Amino acid sequence: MTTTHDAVSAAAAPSGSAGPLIDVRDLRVSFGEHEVVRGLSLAIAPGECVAVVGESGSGKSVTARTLLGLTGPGSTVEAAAFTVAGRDALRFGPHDWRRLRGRFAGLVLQDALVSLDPLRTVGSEIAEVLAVHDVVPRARRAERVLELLEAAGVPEPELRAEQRPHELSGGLRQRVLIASAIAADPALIIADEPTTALDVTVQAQILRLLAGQKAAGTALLLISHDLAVVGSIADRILVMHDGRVVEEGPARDVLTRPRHDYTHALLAAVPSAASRGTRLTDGRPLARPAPTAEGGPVLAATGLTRTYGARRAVDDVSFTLRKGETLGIVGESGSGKTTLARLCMALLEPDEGGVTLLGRPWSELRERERRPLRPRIQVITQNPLDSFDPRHKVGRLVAEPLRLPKAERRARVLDLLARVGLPQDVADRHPRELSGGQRQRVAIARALGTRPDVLLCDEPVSALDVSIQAQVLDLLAELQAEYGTAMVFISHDLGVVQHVADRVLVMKDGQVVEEGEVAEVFLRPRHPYTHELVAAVPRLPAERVADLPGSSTEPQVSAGT
Amino acid sequence: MRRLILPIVFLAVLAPPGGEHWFGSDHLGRDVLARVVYGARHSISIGVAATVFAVTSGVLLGLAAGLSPKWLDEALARSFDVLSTLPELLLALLIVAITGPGTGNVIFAIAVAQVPNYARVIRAQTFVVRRSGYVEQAVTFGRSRLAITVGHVLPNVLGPIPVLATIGLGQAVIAGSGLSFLGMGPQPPAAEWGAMLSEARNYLRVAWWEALFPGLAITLTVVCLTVVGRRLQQRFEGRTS
Repeated sequence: MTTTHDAVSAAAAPSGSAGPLIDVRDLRVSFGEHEVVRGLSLAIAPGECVAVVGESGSGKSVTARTLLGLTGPGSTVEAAAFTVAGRDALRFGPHDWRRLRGRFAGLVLQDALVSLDPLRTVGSEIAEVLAVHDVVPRARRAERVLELLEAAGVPEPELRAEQRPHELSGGLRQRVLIASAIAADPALIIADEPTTALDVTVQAQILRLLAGQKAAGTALLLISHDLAVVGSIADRILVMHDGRVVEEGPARDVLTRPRHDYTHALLAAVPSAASRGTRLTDGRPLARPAPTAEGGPVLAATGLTRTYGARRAVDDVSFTLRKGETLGIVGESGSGKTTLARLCMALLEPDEGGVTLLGRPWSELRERERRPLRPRIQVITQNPLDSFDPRHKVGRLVAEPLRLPKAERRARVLDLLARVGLPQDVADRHPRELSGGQRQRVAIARALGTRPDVLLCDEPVSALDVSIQAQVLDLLAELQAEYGTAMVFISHDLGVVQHVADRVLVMKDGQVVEEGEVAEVFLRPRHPYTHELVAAVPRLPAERVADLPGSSTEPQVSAGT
Repeated sequence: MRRLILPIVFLAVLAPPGGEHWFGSDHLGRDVLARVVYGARHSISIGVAATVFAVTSGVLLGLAAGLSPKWLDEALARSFDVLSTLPELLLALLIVAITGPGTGNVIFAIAVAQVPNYARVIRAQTFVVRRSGYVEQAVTFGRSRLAITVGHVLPNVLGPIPVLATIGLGQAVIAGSGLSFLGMGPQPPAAEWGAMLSEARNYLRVAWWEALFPGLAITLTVVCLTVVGRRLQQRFEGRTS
């Protein structure tokens, strides 16, 4: 027994062996009959950053978990060779794995709110890692916790250590997770989609932090669906598709000279200013309706203000939307985008100002008077499942806004489903059985059923993988060209907005800080905040994180948002 | 008819369980098995009727509270709270004491005593559903308040009802038999389990069977309903989460 422990401890020391930290060949993981990882080979050298990229279901997260012995019950793990910290991991028992986790490799997961215990202060969460691995003597633990929080870029560590996860913002929670991952000074950090739920400026800060760890000699394994994100810090990239590695190589080569069609498609699917006017899925040109001022604006807001308590969620916002136009609204979480959307939908009454729809009063009407006009403006949201009655099947959901006799309803539903590229049999299925992309298609079909003049899209693709996002964006563009619908497109993703929008509003703290043509605003931002946003966007091909802004001198994210 | 039967049954007064009378016979020579079987009709129908009544009014009141303006909701919610502080049986007894004995009154009393259980759950559910994305979405389709309440809110708040009602039915059967035992329910000679127990009390020393079998019937019914209810609860809770 003693020899075993010594071997682990020796290998776990960051400055230990010169060989790879993890070396796995022909890894196969299956759950029952279903093989999710089919022959993956991967080696991570000390101080190296390796990224595994793929869409959901490609097996990338399972791979990351398997490398820490967390594959889960009911799984079978096979490999031609599997060495972790210089030892044969195929013969590891639960005890061996437990000693490695935290000490040898720290894990950072996507959703920090779920990964942290809601009942404990974040300080005690980190102290636990120190206690389990006995890294520092008990007396020095509290001090070390503060050092770790400081190292992870958490401002006011004394205050934060006493807080619980729900009192922190998303970015701070992610930093806390990173602090606990580096607590035992591991040789390797495995980060599974560490920035996916974060705003772009916060994402840039987290990437900087990870890059800093790498510079300090820690190896990184990044799991992501976003090539642009990993491109900024990875040395090597593995592209996974359907459980297999389809391409592997130095980051710059994979990003600039992809050899495999799938990698190529992934790169092409990333929306940006360059992809405007073309389809993301196949690069063909896209017919765009010319926005026309004819007949006046379809939607107009003047001086919209809405307060929650002392906070002004939307503060004096005005805009107009012309027929066939797409207006992008960008801003970070808490900037008032969604409140603005709800005001436009007249689901919320403004405190001041008003909205007109098709030149007629809208927000000042009473609900009873609004109802006949409601079908003219429709909304799709980030999570369509929330907007579906959980008892209903797709056919009934899509039929709900239609005012048609029963006999014609079915035919119209099937027609709408066909328009959004869904097979007929989807009508008789439950949304829960559908994938995220299919659900969003159902939501789009339903919103289009009333032939709206205005379609409000509130983060419609934020929960989707890049390739699925590309399909949904193409679909929206096609439908807009066909029906001439005007769109308000709300997103925190600047690339998406640059791809779809004609004009853009940049929001911060409820106010519009900048407004104008998309190309103009993003190429020559006038407001410092827009400047910061644009600079924080990770871009293809690889740029070094050192170029990214977001150092500790900049305004820090505050808690409680 | 009666003249013909009487001489026969006098032979079997308080006969112990045996080949003639499987569960024995009572102090009037009536077959206990026959009365237990026949009594199911009274006891269970009181339980079912009270439960149906309680569920219906509970759902309507809970929904009304959940959809009402704040002052009305508060008023309703506090009255549910007050009612549920009293033990069900005690509350039912109080109501029967006011309305007087009788099957109908017992059903009414039990139902009223159980209403808060259902109303509170439905009120809480209504709050959740009312704020849900799909109700909001239905508003954006221009559907009326009534259409949304009937089409989306009502069906979606009913989720926990089957489970609650199954367990509630068991409680209602106990309450019904309890009130009958105290002489508030169906009057003798009606065969009702609680009433049978009450009559058997006087002969307990000489004829245990007259009390045992109706008592067993009550116990088994309630245990079965509760077990089924809990099972349903486990299954549904497992599924929805």
